Amino acid sequence: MSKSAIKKRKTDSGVEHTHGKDENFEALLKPVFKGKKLTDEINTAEDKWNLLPAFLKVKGLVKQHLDSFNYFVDDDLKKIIQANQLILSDVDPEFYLKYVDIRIGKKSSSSARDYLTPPHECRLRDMTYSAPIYVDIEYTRGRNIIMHKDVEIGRMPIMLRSNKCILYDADEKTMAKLNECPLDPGGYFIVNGTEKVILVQEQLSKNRIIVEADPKKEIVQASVTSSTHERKSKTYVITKNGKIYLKHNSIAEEIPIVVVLKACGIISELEVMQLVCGNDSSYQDIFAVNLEEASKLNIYTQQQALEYIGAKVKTMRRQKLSTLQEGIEAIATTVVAHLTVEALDFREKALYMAMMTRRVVMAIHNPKMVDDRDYVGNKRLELAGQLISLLFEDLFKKFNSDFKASIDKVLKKPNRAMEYDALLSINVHSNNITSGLNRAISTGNWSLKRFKMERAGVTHVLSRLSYISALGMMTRISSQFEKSRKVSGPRALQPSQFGMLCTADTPEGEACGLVKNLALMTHITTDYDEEPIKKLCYVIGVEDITMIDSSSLHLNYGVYLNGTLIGVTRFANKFVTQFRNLRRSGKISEFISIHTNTHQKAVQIATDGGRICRPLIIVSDGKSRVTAEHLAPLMNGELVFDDFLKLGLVEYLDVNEENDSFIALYEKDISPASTHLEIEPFTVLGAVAGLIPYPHHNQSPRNTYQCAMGKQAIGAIAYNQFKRIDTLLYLMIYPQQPMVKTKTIELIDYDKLPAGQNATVAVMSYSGYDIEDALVLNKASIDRGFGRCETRRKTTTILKRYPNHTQDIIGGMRVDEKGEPIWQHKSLGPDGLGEVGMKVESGQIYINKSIPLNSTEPFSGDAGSQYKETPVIYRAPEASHIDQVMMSVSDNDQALIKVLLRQNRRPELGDKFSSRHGQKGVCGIIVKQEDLPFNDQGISPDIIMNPHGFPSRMTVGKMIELISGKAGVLNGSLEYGTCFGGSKLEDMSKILVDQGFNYSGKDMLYSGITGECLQAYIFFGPIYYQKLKHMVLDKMHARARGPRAVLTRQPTEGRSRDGGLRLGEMERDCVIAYGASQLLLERLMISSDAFEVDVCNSCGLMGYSGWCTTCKSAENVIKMTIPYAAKLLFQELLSMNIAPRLKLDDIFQE
Amino acid sequence: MSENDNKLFVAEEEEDIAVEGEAVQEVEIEDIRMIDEEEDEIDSDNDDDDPVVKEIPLNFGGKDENLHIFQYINKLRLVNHKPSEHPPISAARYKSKSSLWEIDVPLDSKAFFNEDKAKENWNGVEVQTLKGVGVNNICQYAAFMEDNQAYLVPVRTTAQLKPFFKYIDAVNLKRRQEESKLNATPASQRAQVVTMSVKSVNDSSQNRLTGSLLAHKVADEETQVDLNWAENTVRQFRESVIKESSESIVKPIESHEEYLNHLV
Repeated sequence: MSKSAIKKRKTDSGVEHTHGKDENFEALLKPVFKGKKLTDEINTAEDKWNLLPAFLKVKGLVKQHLDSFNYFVDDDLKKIIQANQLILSDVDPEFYLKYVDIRIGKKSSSSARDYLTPPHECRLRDMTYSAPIYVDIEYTRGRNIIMHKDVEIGRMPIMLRSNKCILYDADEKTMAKLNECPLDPGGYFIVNGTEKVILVQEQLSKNRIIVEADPKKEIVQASVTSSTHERKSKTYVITKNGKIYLKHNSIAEEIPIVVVLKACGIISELEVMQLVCGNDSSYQDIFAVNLEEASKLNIYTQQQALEYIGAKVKTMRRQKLSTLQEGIEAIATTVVAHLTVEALDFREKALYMAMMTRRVVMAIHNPKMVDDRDYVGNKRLELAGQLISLLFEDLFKKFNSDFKASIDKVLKKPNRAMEYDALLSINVHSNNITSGLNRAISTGNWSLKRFKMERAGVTHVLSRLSYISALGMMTRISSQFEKSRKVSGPRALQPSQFGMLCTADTPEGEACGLVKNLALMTHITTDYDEEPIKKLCYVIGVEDITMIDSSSLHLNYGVYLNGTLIGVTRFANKFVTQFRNLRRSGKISEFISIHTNTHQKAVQIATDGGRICRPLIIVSDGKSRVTAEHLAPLMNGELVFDDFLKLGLVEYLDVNEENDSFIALYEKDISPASTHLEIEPFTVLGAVAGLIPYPHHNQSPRNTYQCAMGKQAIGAIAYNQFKRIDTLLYLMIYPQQPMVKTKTIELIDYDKLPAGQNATVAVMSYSGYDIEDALVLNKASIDRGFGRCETRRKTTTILKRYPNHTQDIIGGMRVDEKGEPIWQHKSLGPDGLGEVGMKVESGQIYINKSIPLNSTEPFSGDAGSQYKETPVIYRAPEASHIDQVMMSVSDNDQALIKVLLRQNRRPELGDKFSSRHGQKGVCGIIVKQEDLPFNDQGISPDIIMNPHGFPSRMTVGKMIELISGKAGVLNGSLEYGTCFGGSKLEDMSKILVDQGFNYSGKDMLYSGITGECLQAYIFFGPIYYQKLKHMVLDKMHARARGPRAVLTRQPTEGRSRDGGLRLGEMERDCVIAYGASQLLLERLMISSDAFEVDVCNSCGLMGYSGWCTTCKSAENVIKMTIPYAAKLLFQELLSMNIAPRLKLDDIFQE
Repeated sequence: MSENDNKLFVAEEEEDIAVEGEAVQEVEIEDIRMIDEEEDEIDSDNDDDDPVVKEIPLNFGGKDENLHIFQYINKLRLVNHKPSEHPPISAARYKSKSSLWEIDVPLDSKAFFNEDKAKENWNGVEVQTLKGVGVNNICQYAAFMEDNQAYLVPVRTTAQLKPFFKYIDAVNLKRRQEESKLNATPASQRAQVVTMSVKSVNDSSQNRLTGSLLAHKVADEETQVDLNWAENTVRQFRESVIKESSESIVKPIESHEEYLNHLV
């Protein structure tokens, strides 16, 4: 497209846009923005990255969740209602009830949305953030047809910041008023007070043919997973002994493919051959044997073939069908279920199966013609909206069948006094939908009756460890693969995930490569209607498949819409170009993709949901369509991202279409053949990996390690963090934004909610306490607040009400003779709850609750003595302070008490820190500032890091971060370490030199102990350090004596139960080898579960109190000590009819 | 044509047109192409290297005509052109509700035909029955040229006619009946006491056939209409279309832009 055309179009649509004043763009209008003046020249190559913030402004980081949910509540719900529209009665043929419309959170009568309890209130009060589901119904009452609007059938949990949420499009003021953080991305649900995320699920795409081959077993198979609203099934076309068969779960054995095609009405073998092989003689040779197979079975007519198949169907039906009918049913609906034949014409289905067969034949002929399961283009992502839609339809069907049953029950009674109003029964079942949705989201168990599907672990509690961990969770993609399987394919980095999935962010260990993260600039499509696209294809020259005869089918390119052949085109390239032009001009949705597959002679069009796609700049005639004249209005806020789409400058490509394109990484790489240009190369990384400065200089696993650790860093969580009462919250006291930022950091607002501090690091050895990555910390820095954090822990108590009208109560404090509260009650206020600001020490009480002794029998007199004290006692190694106390009423009218306890923690020995380069270490020693080395300016380091951490890790990025950071400090600027870019090392060195420092960042330091200067120059400067959540205080544990398990009388296990430290099997071996038998005896018995038993030396069994119950005598009874576990074993053996007899002897002969 | 050298496989299909009505006509048209006005316009927009050679006026007509396309899927192209072969269609039957066509073509018994076998095994079959379902196609037109003008006539349905071996199924059915008679088990012949109970059929929904099964049932129960096969009516047909289209001029009711907008 020529330039003038763009200009023309711009006048059509671009100038009409009138944008209101936008707060987010305020900053752009300031005289200096991000180091750039308004009058500065605009450079396309450098400034095209501004499209990215523009993209994120429209799309946001969690837009995929919001889009998916919005699509569900706005469109999908209506489709579900339509598909399950009618409720008919079996009793009264006249009766009907019809759903006309459905709405969420809005009545048809009022223009405003319903009032919803604000999300933060739901969090605090353990409620579900939900909106009512209203339906409009039409039904018969007697002879009359009644319309009823706004009938509530349940409540739908609302995704935060979706278009049904009260935070939708809210400005910062409103957010503040609602106690919400304006930076919180939303995209999660609040169910019973907990924030739940429905993780993105990755699956193999539905309704597409996947061809696979096993060269060892000589098997080639084409499979398709058909998925409709009603059912899910898988159909295979598979080779067996060189012949091709159809396989399906509900057909008992494999059916020769020619028989299947004949059953579909392709009677003539000539036509079968033409459909499958076309004119290709090598294909014909491979396929010919299958024709013989069918003729051996003497099957010539469609009816014979249908009966042959019908005889092999093994589905259970209530209704008896003839073999012929079974065959018709199997072909029409069971096999390849997503193409259900409603009438007499089986041609579409026949073609689909012929195509599957053709793909198999092609793969036999050329083993390279197989598909890759791990290719991202063959994957679809299932999002919250789709998952809830599946669940809702299931619940709605259940609701309707229950509703129908209760209607039938009433209508069955022959003489009713009055006309029956069906509306009376609708409310009976309304709780099913609400509780079904709540239960599924809060437990994560997705059970769908109609697919017989049970899936666990769909939802997760939103991790609020830090802002970045919450954000990381929203972009996470979990795969359906089994984690224990040792396959490398699905875990490997796929070339096709470039720009779509983050290349660095994946966990280590068993889920490595199976859990992925979205890259920064991606979009996940929602479903789009096929019909209009089909119509459009025919208009722009696709020949309808129903008109094409078998002989000319394979001469031209086939056009496939979502995997189904809809026609052929003679001029594939021209068709594809025209289609793309229509998309670029905005005539069809920008998320519909089209690509040519020359191997299969196919043009594939995809409109289905769950494809990952990303925007790219269109290049035509070797020139980028986005030029300086477009970027200027973008930066001034005159154009937004969507305008770029409408102007045909930028378009979305999915993975398949990317494969059909030639994408230049930088503007200088554009050649005449280029079709697209990257907006910014650093978008290959995701939000979490985007925090790393200079990641392109690091060894790649280091970036992966940082992605895992970035989520554990303690920092600021949200602007409303002090208003939150979460189970456990870690907050950093003085978080700082990093000296070396990245563009991603700015885009995701990490600089506003940071998790870490800029520490001055000296890379040198100091004392012996820095081996194995241990860090030396400066005591004065810690005193000034370095690495200081606080933990906030919540305790919830519910004051229950009981059937006999008694309820739990809170008692006041108990006082001693002086009128002072007793020690345990010291932190209590007169209301029996801890007072805000009081210190609670281990053993003290902060909720003085009592429960009635008698909660079932009727209440009788004398109330005082009938309560038992069940106080909540604080137990921890360190004291806490009471931060907040909340008393409220939850959903079910019971009083709810939440107490938040706060602990302030300064770094101590063993606390874990890490830089942003996967370099973690624990604090090995805390040194007085006087003893630390200092430089010419008198600066001593906050952290000393051992240089041995560098050579093997090869984290060059960390070194450059130090230099850039140092330059920034000296220069008074924040430097950038953006991936594939950022501040250049040369420039940084220049600043250092200009400020009188060494170009390489090394300084001369003086020893704090001797005052002499150190013999080497020390690499010295600021590096951003994160404090990780693993702190010694939460882990330290020791015990002398303590609780024991009831059954074995051995010490309990684990820190939380104050357990003992186990001397295990291997330790035992060591002690034996050493010959320390008495130590062994002490550890394994005396300090554990020593037990005195009375053993009868005559029968060898155990008695008690000096009496043998077997021998009925006390004569030979000997007392001895054995482990209780051994005694338990003997008794258990006895119970199994095995008598272990002890024969006692003196070891030490006298 | 090189493809036609391979005589086993026919590369291209010839479409014939028949008109349903009192008299069934047959039209032979050299080349049927689906032409759309707008398509042409789009084409001319983009293709600079594909110059316009000639402009042909388009005429619409025959909107009352009942035009159906028959595709003879297995007819060889060579055979198709033999004039002697062409007309004889001995019978045509139609089920309008299910739009199901059945056509009998007399067999050429002169060559490659085993008359004995036909008599012995297949009850002396003499005709080849072709069967096809008419599929509705919107926006499909048949066209012919007359005086350098193209005339477009809307097509109702397209049917692909495929052989339908009624006689094999008939023989099979007969044989099966005979077998069941011969192998009649003594149990089935014994007199039985039949008790009948009246069961309320309140769950009628279960026995409702749906989808394709229903369509098959409807088609089976529908009575078919016998039609006459008429020849040499093409001339007359053409004239009526030409006459009709000359009577009125089709005007576009919306602009190019509007059309494109309502497409999707």
